[in-house]
Amino acid sequence: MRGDKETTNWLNKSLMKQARQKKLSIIAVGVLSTVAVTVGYLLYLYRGQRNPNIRDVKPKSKCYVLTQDLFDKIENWQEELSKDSVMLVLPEVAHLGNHLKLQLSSIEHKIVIFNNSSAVWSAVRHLKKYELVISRDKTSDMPVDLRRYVGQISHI
Amino acid sequence: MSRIVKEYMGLQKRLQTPEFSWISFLAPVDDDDLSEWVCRFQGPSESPFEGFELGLNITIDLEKYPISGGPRVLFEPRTVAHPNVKWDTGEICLDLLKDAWTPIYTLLDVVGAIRDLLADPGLDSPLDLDIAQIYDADYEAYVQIVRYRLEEARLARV
Amino acid sequence: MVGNVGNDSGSSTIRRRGSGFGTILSTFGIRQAAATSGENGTLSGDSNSNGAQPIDITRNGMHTQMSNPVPNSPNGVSESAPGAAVGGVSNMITNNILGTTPFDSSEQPSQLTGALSAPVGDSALTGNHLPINLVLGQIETNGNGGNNTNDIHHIPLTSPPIHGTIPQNGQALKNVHHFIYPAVRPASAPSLHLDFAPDWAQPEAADDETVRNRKDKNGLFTLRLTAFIDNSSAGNPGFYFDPIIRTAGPGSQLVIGRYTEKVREAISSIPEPFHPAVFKSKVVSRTHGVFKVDDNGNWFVKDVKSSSGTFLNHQRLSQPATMSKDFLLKDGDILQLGLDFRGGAEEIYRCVKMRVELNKSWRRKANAFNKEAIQKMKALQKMTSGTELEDCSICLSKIKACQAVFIAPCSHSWHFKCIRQLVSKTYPQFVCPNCRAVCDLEADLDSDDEDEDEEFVDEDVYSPNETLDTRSRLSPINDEGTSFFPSMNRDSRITHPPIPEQEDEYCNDVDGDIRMLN
Repeated sequence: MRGDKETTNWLNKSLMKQARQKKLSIIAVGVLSTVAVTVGYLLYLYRGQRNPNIRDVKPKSKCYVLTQDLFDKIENWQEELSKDSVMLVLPEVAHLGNHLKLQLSSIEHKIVIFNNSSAVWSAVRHLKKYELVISRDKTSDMPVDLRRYVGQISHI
Repeated sequence: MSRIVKEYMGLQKRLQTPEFSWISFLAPVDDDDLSEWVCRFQGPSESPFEGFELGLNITIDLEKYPISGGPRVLFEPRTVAHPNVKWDTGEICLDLLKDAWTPIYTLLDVVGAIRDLLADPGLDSPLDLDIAQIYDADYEAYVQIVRYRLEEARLARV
Repeated sequence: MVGNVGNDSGSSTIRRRGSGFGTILSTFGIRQAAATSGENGTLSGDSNSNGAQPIDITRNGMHTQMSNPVPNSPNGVSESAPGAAVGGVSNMITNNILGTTPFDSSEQPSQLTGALSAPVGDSALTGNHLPINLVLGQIETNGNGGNNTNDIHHIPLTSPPIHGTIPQNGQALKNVHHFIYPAVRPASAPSLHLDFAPDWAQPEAADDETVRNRKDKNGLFTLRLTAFIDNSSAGNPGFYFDPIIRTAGPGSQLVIGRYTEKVREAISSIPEPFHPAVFKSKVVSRTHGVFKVDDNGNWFVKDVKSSSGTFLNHQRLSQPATMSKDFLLKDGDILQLGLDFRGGAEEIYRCVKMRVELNKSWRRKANAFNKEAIQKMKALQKMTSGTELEDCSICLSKIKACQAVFIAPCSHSWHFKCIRQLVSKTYPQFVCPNCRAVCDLEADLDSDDEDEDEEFVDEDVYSPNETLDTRSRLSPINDEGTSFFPSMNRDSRITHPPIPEQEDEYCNDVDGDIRMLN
């Protein structure tokens, strides 16, 4: 039979062990939750960056940057520009822009003809449409930061 | 009688004069509460705003007006593209509304100054850098962008 | 029904909350008048009513609708419950040293004229709020506990406490009434008791015309107290307070005392002209003195056993803790409450010195001078610029006589009140809001140069349609030849944003008189 002293010792030890285990589990929970929160926050940020303006997301608003290439590829501009869209006409294809303005007189305000290409990109930034539709050959001209101002870029 | 009440009384008459025919209306939302006003006015001629009607929301701190502070004026949000206007909020960057305010200005003066600002942006303190850049680099494109926004806003009101 | 507990629950409420409550009430205990028994309890217009109902001031500052009689509410006397107002202070005060209180006798006072729940700050100041009766009491602790009733008898010189507000735990009340009558004193209210001071001026007879002139448009007499500030004296400059203006009908009595939380609650629902004269100074006793006004508009001051004394034109009215006689006040008298404690290093320990002005004398005196001043201003304006003296472009009201006006060097004028903030914001520089002219308000005013006048430009009188900014005036040149007003030389055009024209549409002068109570 164990003596009293030994019993007390054993009791103390087991209590301490329990206490320690308790402590450890609390720490574990703490760490896990912190990790979870951090991950969640990072995900949220990442998604937020992709869609800087949830406002413009709704019926996917579009911004077209017109080039000869793009002009050729789209059949029905009346339909393309019918919803929430805007067309930015690069200086080199101003004549196409004018043509479209005449053709689509009811929505001619959606067609903006530029003399200066850098202004085009500023317009993209200002308009903050969800989708930027641009032909592949022009992507190199695009300023790098543009990605922050649109949700998605469609290369045609 | 407080100053804002006096202004309100004088307004009726002044708005009839040809000098202010470009204001469709300028009145408190509720006659009993002179702290919230609304204004609709014609855009200035010789500017992309010509031919369009614009809306302002005006808030007055009745304790401070006019001695310690001027009215707080915002365009209707997301209607005005302008170098000195914040697109999303309608906030206006105009010295008269900030440090250049003196108590002799009236609501009419403020609305008039805003109208003048529309025609003549101040590029040293832009609230919308992108629009300011377009205005600077390509005025004709600027005009079209402004009109695009105004048309869309007009269609949305219908 | 003296001594009879009209509402047992009421007094027992007090008794029950006695210890905590009573001790809390260490300062102004605002007690309402006690409840009387049922027949006196109604407020409506029958002969039984108690008429000038005292305000039911509770500790929470809750008030009853006086227009709805609540007969003999059991909570009539309790401090915390709103309860009904109670009347019948009358019978309780038998030997009232203070002079007559409105309900001293067993007569039935006249009825209440209107609801006391009228909004505070009602500028009409009709009799709707009046009469008002507050009982401002001061607990004097006796230290020992024990039966309340015994202690009442220990209080010398003060009127016995109002029934129902029986003090507990050995504390007793020194009650001072603050009552304001309307223009026409309730018929049954006894006339004011005045104990004239010997060796002091006595009120002179006054004919009806004089008395009428003393009254304001509501038929009330007025009293104005302005802080007497002496910045030059070696000691402290004095106790500052905003000017106090009070009105009262004939026979009224205004309490002078210290401002406390209880007072604040008590007066929170009364319009300011009927408030007692209270000050935030600790040397002023909670019940320090009273002002009284008689039927002819003579005002009197009396010390009601203040601890630190009251001084009228440097003469002490009575010994400490002694009731004084009634001293006739005259316009311009200096009244001092208390003495500086510790030299008045802190403002709350300063005595309150004030100048007393009676019956709107401060307004009447101004007229003669100011009417001329305004006329001269107008003439000058017309002469120099061809335009009429314009309204204050800040408040859009006219600039009239008796108004403090600030005239800038560019000759634009505004009410001082309107321009003050602008002046202090950029002092000593001043930029005229009308014409943007800059001037230095600290510029030297002397000039020995006798030829100075010739240097002033003969200004062309311009047509009223011209905008204001094109005017300019040469500034006086000092000996060194530099201009004091740098931006105001003859040649400069002052640029500024568009200045609106001031038109007369704004000048609908609906205001009329200067607001006396401003």
